[in-house]
Amino acid sequence: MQPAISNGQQIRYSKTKKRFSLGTAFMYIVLTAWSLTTIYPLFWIFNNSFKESRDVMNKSFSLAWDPVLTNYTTAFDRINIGKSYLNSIIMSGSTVIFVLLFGGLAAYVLSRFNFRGKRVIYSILYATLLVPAFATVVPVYELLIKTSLVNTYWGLILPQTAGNLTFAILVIAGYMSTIAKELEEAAFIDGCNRWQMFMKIFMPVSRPVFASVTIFVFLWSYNDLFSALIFVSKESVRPIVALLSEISSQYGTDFGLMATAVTLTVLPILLIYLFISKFIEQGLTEGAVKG
Amino acid sequence: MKGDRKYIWMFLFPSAAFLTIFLYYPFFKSLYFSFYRTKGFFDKKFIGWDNYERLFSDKMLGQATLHTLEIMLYVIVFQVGIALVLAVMVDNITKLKGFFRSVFFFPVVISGTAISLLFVLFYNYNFGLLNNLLTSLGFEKVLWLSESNALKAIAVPTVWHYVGFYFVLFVTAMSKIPEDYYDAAKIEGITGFKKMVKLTIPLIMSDIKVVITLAITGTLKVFDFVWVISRAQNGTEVLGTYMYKKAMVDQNFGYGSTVAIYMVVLGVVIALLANRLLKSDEITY
Amino acid sequence: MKKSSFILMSMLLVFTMFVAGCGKSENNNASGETPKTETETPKESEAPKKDVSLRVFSTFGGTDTAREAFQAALDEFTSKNPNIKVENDTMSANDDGFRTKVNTDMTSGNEPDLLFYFVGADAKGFVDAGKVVPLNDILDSDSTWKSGFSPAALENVRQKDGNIYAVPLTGFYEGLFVNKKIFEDNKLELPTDWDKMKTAVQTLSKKGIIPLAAPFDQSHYVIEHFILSAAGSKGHNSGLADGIDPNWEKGYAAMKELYDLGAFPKDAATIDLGMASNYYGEGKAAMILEGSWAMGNWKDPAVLDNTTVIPFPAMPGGVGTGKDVIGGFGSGFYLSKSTFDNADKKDAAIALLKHMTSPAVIEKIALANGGTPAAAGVEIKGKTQTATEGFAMVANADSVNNPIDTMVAPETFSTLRAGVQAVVTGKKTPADVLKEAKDIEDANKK
Repeated sequence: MQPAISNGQQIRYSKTKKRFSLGTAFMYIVLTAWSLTTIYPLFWIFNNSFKESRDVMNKSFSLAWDPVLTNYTTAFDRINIGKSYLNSIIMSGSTVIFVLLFGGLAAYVLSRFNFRGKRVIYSILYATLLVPAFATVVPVYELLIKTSLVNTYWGLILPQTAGNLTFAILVIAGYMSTIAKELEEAAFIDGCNRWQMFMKIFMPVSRPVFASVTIFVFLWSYNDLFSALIFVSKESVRPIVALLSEISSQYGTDFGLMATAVTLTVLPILLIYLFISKFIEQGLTEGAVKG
Repeated sequence: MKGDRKYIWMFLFPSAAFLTIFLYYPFFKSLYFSFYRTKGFFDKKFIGWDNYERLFSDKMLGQATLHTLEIMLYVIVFQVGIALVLAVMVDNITKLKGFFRSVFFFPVVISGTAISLLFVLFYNYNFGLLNNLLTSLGFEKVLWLSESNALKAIAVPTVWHYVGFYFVLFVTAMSKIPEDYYDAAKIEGITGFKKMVKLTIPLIMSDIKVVITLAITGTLKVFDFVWVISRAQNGTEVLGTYMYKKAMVDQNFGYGSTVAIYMVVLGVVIALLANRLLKSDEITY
Repeated sequence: MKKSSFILMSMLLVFTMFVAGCGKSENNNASGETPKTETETPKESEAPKKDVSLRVFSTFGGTDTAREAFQAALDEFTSKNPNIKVENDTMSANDDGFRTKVNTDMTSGNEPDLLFYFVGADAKGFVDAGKVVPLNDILDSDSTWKSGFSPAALENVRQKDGNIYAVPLTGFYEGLFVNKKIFEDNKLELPTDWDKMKTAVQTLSKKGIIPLAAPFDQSHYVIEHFILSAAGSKGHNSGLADGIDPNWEKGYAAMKELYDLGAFPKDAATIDLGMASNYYGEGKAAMILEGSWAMGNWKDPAVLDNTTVIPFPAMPGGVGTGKDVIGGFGSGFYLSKSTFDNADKKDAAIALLKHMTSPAVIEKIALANGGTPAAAGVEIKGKTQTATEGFAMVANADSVNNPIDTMVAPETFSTLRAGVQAVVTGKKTPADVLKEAKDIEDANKK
């Protein structure tokens, strides 16, 4: 079997030849229906962020024709929202980089090497996925206090990197294990060592999976309120989730303010996602190394 | 390859270090706590296996396990199922592919708490959307979160939230199936549903396994939805909420840790079973 | 901190150099985006003598109504004492994360200099462990400071061992908030005794109005008031340590009695306190058992202007007087032992403590959050008519009792809460639930 060398052009060519059929129509209907269930809630939250709490309760499904900005002014009055966004980006971004680098290396070893104890490592990794955050938070916090890392960026980056590594290793290894052996052999003949092979072949070839992992890890890290509240609660370092939760927790019953808090957390992420999803698409369709 | 041993060591080391310091060490500390009766953070007293004995006579824990398994069933069947179907469909269409790919992922972006809140307003007895609809159509209001319904009602957002997540993993997996496979299938006249069952699914089996494992482990940790929507009442107590209650609300870390260990053991057993059931030859191309 | 981050940075550097050595790579940005190592180094600064920095940890942050007043009081202090820097560290009290954080901080040597935290069972751990100092002597040595507090407030924050570890700021009360308009519209009398309560519940529930908004899970106030009404002040305050007061059973039985008359919302099992408060605030419920802080959440003038607050009525067969209320000074400032032992910080911290609990500051904060001021001679005035009525209720009460969860272990209280639904739906008898709770309490005492 030759390594897959295809590009978007070919895919489109082979598929557009299919005739439009009843089956395809059905598929479009299903897909559209599902996409509505995902778009509407977002719109709902956005819409309700312009209402007062009681209107959210009593008529949450009407359009906010007269947008009320109180929620936004409350949110912005209290806080330095920009700084928190920056904190979030620094901490979640670093987490992603660490996870990709370290997780990628481990995944490479696990998927392409044969050695004793590999199965054991896999089993341990699966078990690791199951450890609930509540079970580790107190000892981790003690550790961070002892190393004076509480309320510093590292105080969130390090535990979150550890928390997301397992997922990244398993998913990346799953992908790498299906990469054709020939690629590896060719590189070997070229005189690459294992490190170069990882950097020059496996990283680029696995771009789609690295892209997916980037998104997920970033999201999890960005939305991880529990760790943020405990490890980095100080104003100068706290990320946006912690900030917004603080705004809404005192008035947990203020649904309007809650909707605003959610909108403010989700919106930037959504914009970034829409922007980078193009690149992911590219990664997905390229599929393999060119040439 | 020569010198591989060195690389195995070097490449695994950073991950191993991170996991050991920030996951395994704390976890073993929890294991240590599980042999103590704790009061808050300051008093602890060695009590041997007492916490484990309590585990086996704990009726709430038994119920929480059953509820978790029920949600797990819904998640595996519907969440993974829907994600797979959507992925296959998107793989088979030509127009709007990118649109669907981006949009299906949206719910994953929203935090679980926010989605739970949305569903609180759906299900609320007095002014929820569903009951508003019913009354405007002239029906009686329904108690959506009654003892017989509540768990299913919570399963709906749980399933819906992460469909997009598995969808993306499946699409990623399908993207690496070489086009020649499909061309060959086409020549032999294999299309549509048959193609999905005979070609696509077997080819991404290893990814399906990973996804099912992720789904299982994810379900064991379900927390926000239950906590926000039903306060873990009316037959919706799950392992995540039970452990949280014991460790954080009751501040009984000893028993809370014991529950956490039980969760890990249970998860490993289920994951191994699932792996056994899904056993098939890995395909490489 | 420096050391560990240095190791990590160098690890990262090694990796990036490695990458660079291997020809072209896309990973060069790895180092570019790493966080600039911490910008702040809390209180490690080797400052010249006399310059002191203190960390105050409290719940006066986020959207707390007294946030500005609290910060202003701190600023006032630092402007008077330019050599002292105060770091105002805050976290919301609403989540269990707050308790976890405080307790972990206290166990692992990360104590703040001044801690604003709950008194009673919540603080028992670090008080018993000697992490905070008893303030009796300091209070006694400064009579102006001590006499600034109302004696009742100081008495209220006394820990079980007879010492005062926390000095109070503002207090709270709980009671039965009643929507007078709903009662008038339905020609009902205010529920000042048990029969009137039953009549009201029956009438309202037939009309489709929720008589008493209360959740089963977060049933703190329900449990407190029913037991107080059944067992009286003494029975309520005795907790479960020395046996079960037989009147507690009556309290649970009374919940069932009212439940059977339709007192609680249909979805009481799955709502939380916030939603119950919403039902009341939206005029969908006629009564609610809540604390003084809840008033801030009711925005609708039709509800707020018609609300009054009364003590929960006594029940027949119980020993409560019908004029017992729950309230007190649930929290205060602690001074940590390590600060007290640190010669540089000790005086500064005590000065700050005195400043933050001076009558002037107490008055400002009480005005901001609507709580009862802990200072003597500060005129009690409510922001609203209801708040004034609330203060009057407390002033005329036969007894003011700390909430029940300060009397029992947290796990015991969870068992009591879980018992509410089981009892009202007839799945368990009150006696069963109390026995279960007692067993847990005993296991905790071991």
